Formats: sequence, C-alpha cells, structure tokens
Amino acid sequence: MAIIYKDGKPVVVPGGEPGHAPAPELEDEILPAEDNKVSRRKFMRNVFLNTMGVFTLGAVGTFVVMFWPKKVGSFGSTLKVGDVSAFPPGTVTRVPDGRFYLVHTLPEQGGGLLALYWKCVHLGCTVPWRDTEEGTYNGKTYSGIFHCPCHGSEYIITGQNFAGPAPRPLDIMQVIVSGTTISVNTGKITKRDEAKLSDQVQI
Amino acid sequence: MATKKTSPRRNPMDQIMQASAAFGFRVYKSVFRHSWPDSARTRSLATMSNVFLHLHPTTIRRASLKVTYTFCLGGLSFFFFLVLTVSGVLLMFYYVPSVTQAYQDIKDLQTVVFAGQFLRNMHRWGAHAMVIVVFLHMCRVFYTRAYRPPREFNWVVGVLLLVLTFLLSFSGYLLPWDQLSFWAVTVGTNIAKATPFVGPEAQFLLIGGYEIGQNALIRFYTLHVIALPLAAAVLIAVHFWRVRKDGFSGGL
Amino acid sequence: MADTSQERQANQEQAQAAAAETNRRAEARRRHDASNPLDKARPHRLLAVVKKEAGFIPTKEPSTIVHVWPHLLMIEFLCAIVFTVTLFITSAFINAPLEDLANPERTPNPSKAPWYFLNLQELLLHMDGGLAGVIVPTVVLLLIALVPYFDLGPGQMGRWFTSERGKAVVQFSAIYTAFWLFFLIAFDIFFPVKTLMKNLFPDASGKGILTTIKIPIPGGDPTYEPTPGGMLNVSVTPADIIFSNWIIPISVIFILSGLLIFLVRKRFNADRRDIFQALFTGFVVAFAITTVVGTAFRGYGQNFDWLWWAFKRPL
Repeated sequence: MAIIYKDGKPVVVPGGEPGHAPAPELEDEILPAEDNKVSRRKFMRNVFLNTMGVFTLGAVGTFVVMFWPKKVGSFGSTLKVGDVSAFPPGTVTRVPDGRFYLVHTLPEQGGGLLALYWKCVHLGCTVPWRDTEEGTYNGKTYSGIFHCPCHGSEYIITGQNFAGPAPRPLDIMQVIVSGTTISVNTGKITKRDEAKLSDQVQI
Repeated sequence: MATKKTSPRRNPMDQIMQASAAFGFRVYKSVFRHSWPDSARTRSLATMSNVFLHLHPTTIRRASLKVTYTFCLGGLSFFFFLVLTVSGVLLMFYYVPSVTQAYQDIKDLQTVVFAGQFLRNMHRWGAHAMVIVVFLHMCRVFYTRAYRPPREFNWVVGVLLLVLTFLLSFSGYLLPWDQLSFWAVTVGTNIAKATPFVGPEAQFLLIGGYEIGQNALIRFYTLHVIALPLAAAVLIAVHFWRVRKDGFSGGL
Repeated sequence: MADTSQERQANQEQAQAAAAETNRRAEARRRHDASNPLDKARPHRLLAVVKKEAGFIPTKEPSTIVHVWPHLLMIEFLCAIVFTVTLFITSAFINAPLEDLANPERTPNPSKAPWYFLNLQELLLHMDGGLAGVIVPTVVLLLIALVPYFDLGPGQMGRWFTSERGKAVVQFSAIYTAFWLFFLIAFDIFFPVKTLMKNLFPDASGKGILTTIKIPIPGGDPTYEPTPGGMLNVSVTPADIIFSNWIIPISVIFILSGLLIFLVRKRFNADRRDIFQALFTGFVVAFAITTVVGTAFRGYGQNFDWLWWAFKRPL
C-alpha cells in the first residue's frame, strides 16, 4: 500500500507490498500546480472550519480563565496572626485558618518564631501537638512533641523529626514581623533537611 | 523484494509528511467515516452517520426550507436551551444556593470572576429570549396547522415544553436572592396559594414553608438545575423524535 | 419419522403464517400511505447507503428534494450564528439587574412577578385569585393542548392561517380581542366592578344589598370570612364579591368568546379551523396585551399608570 495525493487529498492505493507491483511514484502530485487555485466552495469550507476553530478556542480559553479561581480561602495568602505579646516563649498555637502552628521557642531552643505547616511530611496527615508527651532528640529531652496519629512520626517543638517514618522536619512557612504584629505567608512553604536556628525569626 | 528500491528522489522529509498526512486522514476517517460532504453519497452519509445531525432526515423537500414558514423558531428554542445549559453549568461553579451566600456569590460573579458578568447576562437574556421564542414557536405551529394528525401528540408535548420553559425561567428567578427575585417569587407563589381547595398546601409544598426562605431557595435551585432541565431534555428528545418520524409539515 | 413430518408441517404453517402477517402489514402500510397525503408527497426516503455493486443508484435525484447537508444545515447554522452574535452583543452591553440583598421586611411597591406572569397578575386585579391565577391558565393550556384532537375538519396544513379566509379571521379576531380587552381594562379602572357590586341596590343605610347576602363557597378564598374550614375549605363569601370576582368575569369570557365565534361564522362563513384560529388569536392577543399592561402600565399599588414603563423595573 502506498499513500498518494490525488486532487490534494491523500489516497491509499495498492502496490508496494511483496509480490505486487511497485508503489506508484507520484511525488510530483504532492503539490500539484492546480492546488494553488482555491475554489469558492473550498474557500467557504475553510472559512467555516477556521471560524469554528477560532470560536472553540476562544470559548475554551475563556472557560479556563473563568475557571481559574481568584477568591480562595485564607490558606495560601498572608495571614495576620496577632500581636507578639500573645505568643510568649515556649508556646505552640494552632492557627486553623492558615493550617499551621505558630511556635515561639524557649531561649535555649533558639528563642524565635516558627510557623510549622501542620501537614505531616510523611503522608500528609494533620499532625497534632501533644504537650503531655515527651521526646528525646540529640540527648535532650523535650516535653511536648508533635505526634502524627497516622504512622507515628514524631517531631520536637522546632519541627525536627526524631522518630517514625518522617523523612525530614516539618515544613515551615514564612513569618513576617512588622512592629509587634506577626503575619504568616501561608503561600510560601519551605522544605528543609534539618531544623536550624536560622529558620527561626527573632523578634 | 520488489520495493527494495522504490524511489531515489524521495527524501525523508517528504516521507514524514506523507506518513503524517496519511495518519491524520486515518484519524479523520475513524471519526467521520467519509470525506467532506460534497457528493450525493457523502452528503447523505454526513447526516446519517452523525448522531447530532441524525436529528435530520438526509434529504428534504426544497419547499420545506422556506425560512418564512418556520422562522427557525423550533431550532432557536433548542439553541437557547443549549446556551442556557452551558452558561448555567458555568455559573453553577461559582454559586452556592444558601441564603447567606447566594447574593454575595452573584456579586462575586459580577466583580471577581472573569467573564462572570457576561455569563450571567447571557443566562438572563437567553432565558427571556427562550420564553419568547418558545411561545412564538407555538404560535407558528398553530397558525400553520402543523399539529394535524399524526402530529397531535407532539403538539401536546410542545405545550408541556412551554409550561416547562415557564417553570424553568421562574425557578431561576429566585436564585440571585436580591429584592427583585425575592418579591417576584413571593408574588408568583402567592398565585399558587389561590388554587381552589388546596391553595395553601400547594404553596407550602412549593416553597417548603410559609414564606420564601432557605427551603424555597434549595427547592427552586434543585428544580432549576436538575429536575426541570432533565424533564425538558426528555421531552425535547420525544419532540424531536416525533418531528423526525412524521417529517416536516411545511411545503405541501 | 413421524416427528420430522410433524415438525415439517409445523414449520410450513409457521412460514405461511409469517407470510400472511407480512402481507397483512404491507397491505395495512399501503392503505395507510394511501390515506396519508404526506407520504404521497414524499416520493422516496433514504434508508441505507450501499456499495455501488450492491444496488441501483439513481443518477439524478428529483429536483424538489435536496440534501439536508448543506441546504438545511446552512440555514440552521446561519441562524445560530446570528443569534449567538446578537446574544453576545446584548450580554456585553446590557447587564442583568441585581438589586439589594433580599429583605423580607421591606416589600417594594409595586411587587411584581416575572414579566411572563404579569398577564396573570393583571387578571388577578379583575377577578378572584384562584380564577385568574390557576383556573383560567389551566383551562386555557388544556384547551390549547386539545386543539388537534378536535380540529379534524378538511383542509390542508403547512400554510400560514390555512387560507385567505383564515388570515382575515385572525386579523378580525386580533382587532376584536384588542378592542374588548382595552375596553374591559379601562372600564374596570374607571368603574371598578368590585365597587359597583358593593354599592348595587343600596338599602336605607346605604349598604349594597348584595353585601348582606352571604353564600358558603367550597374551595373558595378563605380571606373573606374568618370561619373557613371543613373538608371542602368552605368560605362564607358576600354575594357582591361572588359577582365581581366570579360570575361577571366568567360571563364576560364566555359571552365575548361566543360573540367572537358568532361573528366570524356570520361574517366570514368560518369553518371549525377558522373558529379555532379566532379563539387562539384571542388568547395570544389577550396574553400579549395583559403582559404589556401588567408590565408597563401598573405602578404604585398596582394602579394604572401611564408613565410606569417596563424599564422602571428591571426584568
């Protein structure tokens, strides 16, 4: 079988297979000279098809832009959390709107602010803060840990993982302190290999 | 073996072009099964082998094509039904039928959502147009006496579709939850209250309470976006099917 | 062997029965076709497309028959384009109305239903709510639905107004209905029938005699008397209201319809189809006029208002 062009349309013709005559050689017909002349009917057809195409593209494009949500919940935007005085050192505060914990560590832990994204870095469960549980990391004992109920990953107050399947510490969000007001950019989530002092924002 | 040396002149680019053209043609054939309809055979196939065009017969009397006979009113009714379905589905993405949220959603549609105002306008003006066009279609069919046997029942289906059109439009009227819609529907459903014997019960059932509130909104919403359109779609299918079976009435 | 011969006989009988059935159907079909002018008018119909070798292909189709693609589809397509563009332009420039948030404590005056129900709201001003809002539209829709089952007289279909006479009847009916409708609406505005009935035949104290007669009506509007109830929802209604809200409107509808039928029969020698056309035109014109009046000429308190135009209230 071979494909040849006849009147500008590809046509399947026999030939070329073993035991058959060779395929006709009609390369010259790929662009016959007459094809440059477009008949009125063909012109109308092209106008019709192209108009429909442009219309469809326009409709699909409009739909996609329209479908792109502009007003989404507070998660993903910058949230005002409150005044610095509301978060004394050693506290872990749940901020459900932003899906994070605002942590103010004790001086020996760094003494700064951290916004820990509450999604477990293992498989995405929401990690609760258990202030009655204890954990040991680097020889130090911490009272109060994050303990994931799904697969038992455990993190200390800085978000550092010390037990369970979690591969890395809890992710952090950008904390912005202007004056005495704390804001958290919930759209800016940073992964880290290890909890460092430099993650914490000093007041 | 005969093809060992087909053509010394054929270059790879041409081969690729030919192969892709052939593939494109195959795909086209798999979809449409015939070439562009410009012969008697392919024109017949075009209508026969396409589920949407199959609503038509393959051929028609030339006299039936007279636009001043039908004024395209039946087709336009369906056209507006489609326009309203598409624009309605798009509006549904941004609308929550709750008395606390509905109005704000309409405001957001008009101010935040891209093309939201345009879609809402289209839905509203299209709905008004559909009521008018469906009514005119009924007048056309009556005055040309196109309900003659064997088309009696299709006329009845048409009357039901007219009623459904009114109900669709009316049920949608409440959804913006503004003063206009609230009081228009209050007045409208008060008419149901005047039904002899069962008036108050009819109104109670319709609005799900003694006054327009959350129950009425969710009832009207569900009727508007699912129940009535489904019923209309089924009746439209019957309507078209009978037109197709009985043939066009015009041009005798 | 006995079995096979029996079987053969049974098979033969079956085949004969099938052939007879086929013949009967063909005959029925032929008779049906002969009785149906439509099928005569359509000499052929496409059932299947076959390969060239398989059958006879007419080289030329009858000139009165054209292919739906492109002849009909082109018309439909152009129509769709025109209306798409029109709707797009309308939607781009005219915004759908949105008023303040719904407030059940603040009723706007006038409060109106959507425009296509304002014909009913207009009727509501002139008669009982149940009559105007439910009975009249239900009966009208039922009558319209039943038309084809009663319009069985001779004459063709597929022609506007059926005949020249039909056209004249429709024109006459349109003018007749418009005249009477305007007259009735104007009459009820300047001489409200409800007031007339209330003050009819006043007694010594100046009270209309009809107001003193009270009649229990089953299924009536319970607002007239504080003691409605019972299985039939009986309401005790003063006679003047029965007259102004029920008897007079119903009588007017019947008398004017009857007069219309009488006139078109007398004037145009109308047949049944023409009478249906006259009545349907009456409905269409009444629908249109009451819609326009209800939308554009009813203002504060649903009072008649020359200047209360449609665009004062969004649609």
